[in-house]
Amino acid sequence: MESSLILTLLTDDLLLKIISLLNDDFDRKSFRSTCKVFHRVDSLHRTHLRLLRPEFLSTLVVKFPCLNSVDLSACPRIDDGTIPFLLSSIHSVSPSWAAKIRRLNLSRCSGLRFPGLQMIVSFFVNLESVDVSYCCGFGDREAAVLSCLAGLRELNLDKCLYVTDVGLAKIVVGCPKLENLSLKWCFEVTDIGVELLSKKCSDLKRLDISYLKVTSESLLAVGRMERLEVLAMVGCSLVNDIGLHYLGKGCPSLQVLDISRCDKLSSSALVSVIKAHSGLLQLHASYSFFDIPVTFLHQFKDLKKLRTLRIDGARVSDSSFQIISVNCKALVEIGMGKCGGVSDTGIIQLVSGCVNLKVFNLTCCSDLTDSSIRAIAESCQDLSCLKLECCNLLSQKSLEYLGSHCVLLEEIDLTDCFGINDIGIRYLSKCSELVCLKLGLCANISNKGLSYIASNCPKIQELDLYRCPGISDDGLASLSVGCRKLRKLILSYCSAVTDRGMEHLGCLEQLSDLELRGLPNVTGTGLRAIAAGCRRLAESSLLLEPVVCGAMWKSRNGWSGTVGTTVCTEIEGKRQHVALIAAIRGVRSDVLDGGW
Amino acid sequence: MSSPEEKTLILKSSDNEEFLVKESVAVQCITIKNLVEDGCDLDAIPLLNVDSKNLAWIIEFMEKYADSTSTDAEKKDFDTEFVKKPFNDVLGLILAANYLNFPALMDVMCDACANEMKLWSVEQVREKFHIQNDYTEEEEKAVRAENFWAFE
Repeated sequence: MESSLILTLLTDDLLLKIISLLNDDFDRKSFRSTCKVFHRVDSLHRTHLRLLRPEFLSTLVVKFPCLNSVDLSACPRIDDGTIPFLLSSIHSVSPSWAAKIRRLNLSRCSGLRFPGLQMIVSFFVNLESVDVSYCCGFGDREAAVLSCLAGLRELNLDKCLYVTDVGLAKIVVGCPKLENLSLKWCFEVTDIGVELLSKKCSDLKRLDISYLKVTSESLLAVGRMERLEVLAMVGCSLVNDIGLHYLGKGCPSLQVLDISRCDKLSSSALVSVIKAHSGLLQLHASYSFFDIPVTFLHQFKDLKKLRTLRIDGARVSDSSFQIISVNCKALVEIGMGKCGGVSDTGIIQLVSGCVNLKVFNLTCCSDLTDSSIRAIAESCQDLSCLKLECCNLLSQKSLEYLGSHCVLLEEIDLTDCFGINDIGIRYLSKCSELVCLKLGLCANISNKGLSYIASNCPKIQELDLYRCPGISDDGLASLSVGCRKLRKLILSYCSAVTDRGMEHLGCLEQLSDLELRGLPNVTGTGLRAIAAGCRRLAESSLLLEPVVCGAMWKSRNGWSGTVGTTVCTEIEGKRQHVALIAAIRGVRSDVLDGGW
Repeated sequence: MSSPEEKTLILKSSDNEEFLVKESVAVQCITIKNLVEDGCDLDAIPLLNVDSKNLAWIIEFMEKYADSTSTDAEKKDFDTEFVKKPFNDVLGLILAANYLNFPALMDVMCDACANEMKLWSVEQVREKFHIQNDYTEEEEKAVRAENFWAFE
């Protein structure tokens, strides 16, 4: 194929088809940087923008004419003071742009209140989806502002702590087209609010009332929601079995039900829901029941379409597995974390029927041996996520089975699996699609094991090596060559790691999350190497006294951890680029920006 | 019930090689389907933008997908092996699939292309696509700065 022809032959729609398959923001940005043609195709067709700095918005508005979704949650300084300037700068470059925006994400913009929100809502008049979760100061005034968006279909009010039934009522009356509403942790909302919701928003399909202090009366109202498909009520500790009976008699369209951590519910009452909803697709009942009696599971014969079942924390028996394997062959996800009574016999029985499993949580099922894993691997070849934390009877044989049969495996948690060693990792590395690997507390893993991963698993993004004493600088060297997509790395208490290892980590451009607690041999020099290389880790410009490390780092979107600050200076060309590496609990980077 | 003799089409590549394909298989390519429906009565259907190398592969793919006895898992295995070709050939097949309007092949090849691109650096992408870097030094710096500071 003639090289000069390629770009002329690859039309825009072909390039667009390829771009649409590049979901990762890093990949898309690489695409843009390749040449002007690719840049143009990306710019012209980009529909979603997640802004990092508010000052760029007006220039980007002009470059991306097809935008319909804007995410400001990562942007510092979105507050009542800056909003007027931001909006007027956009208006001056592109007056019609705001009317095209349908989705707006203002999650965690805690500086925003009623005046700023009012301006935003008047500016983006056609919004259909708004996310103001974790704007903890939001209350009924802000809710009233949002109720002006008559076309609103999706609203996320999680942790808007001061929203009460009054605010909810305004929204419900002003936005009758609501289809998706999330009210997690809105503690002031009561049965009255939910009742009004059920009366006014007949199109509601998804509702999240987790952690609210609602009673069974709310479920009577919810039962009247004809179109409701997804109901999440995690941690609703005031709801009792009567509520489940109401649900059983109503919600004809229900497909997904989450009643995790509801301690007043009993499995026998859940039967009434199951009997009436044989089309149920997902049932999440983690940590709600002490045990799952066989009589309850017999009802599962009606749930032929069930794809997800989570019963973490409940005691099960061998006959439970038999019933599930016979009746629920469509299961794709099973959660049995911390379930008592999970044995090899049970698992072997289960996977003989449930061959479509992709996600399997067996955390703390410590009686399991290699025979279970063999059965899982041989039956469920589409397996993509397997959680085996604390399954300490497993040996390298388990990983051999997985490596041979489950080539699509993407995520595996082997934390505290003492029997796992380097040979096992060599087998596991045959799963070249691995994205997330957790090997915390695996004392028998060394640099050799890491080198197998580095050679064979190029897609790895998350690696947990917490307290793996066998890991040292050479292991990190192999990672820096083979795992270029690494984003999250935990090396806490890998005491053999020194500054040389940090230098290797500096080559990992996509590293955004790094835990380095308890590393006595890492000093400021090492941290400087990381600050220079891993640009995603260091984004703020500040000046502080250099301090010895021992810091835990997180990317700009979530700061937490132990107290300890370190600063490195790096001279880049003529500018002094000062990187802050701070680990201060709960403080957002924009606050640091202004305060220091 | 006996069906009438299955019509066979002759597909001619750009380098004049002829391939015999059953009509029911060939009409997975919408371009060919349209030609047949419009009553194209030529002895052989000329495919001016597809050479024999690509056409042979495309026919192999079409026959696998037209086969009603092959399961989804078998098709997936076939796809995995099929896309193990040098990148130039992957691009060639994308262009051919586009010309022939063959959605199934397009999806598989574009997926393969995107998967390879995910593991490459910017320089590698340029090399594999044979693209000249047409940014000036300042422009490239500006794009990188924009990518890094402005948005995700």
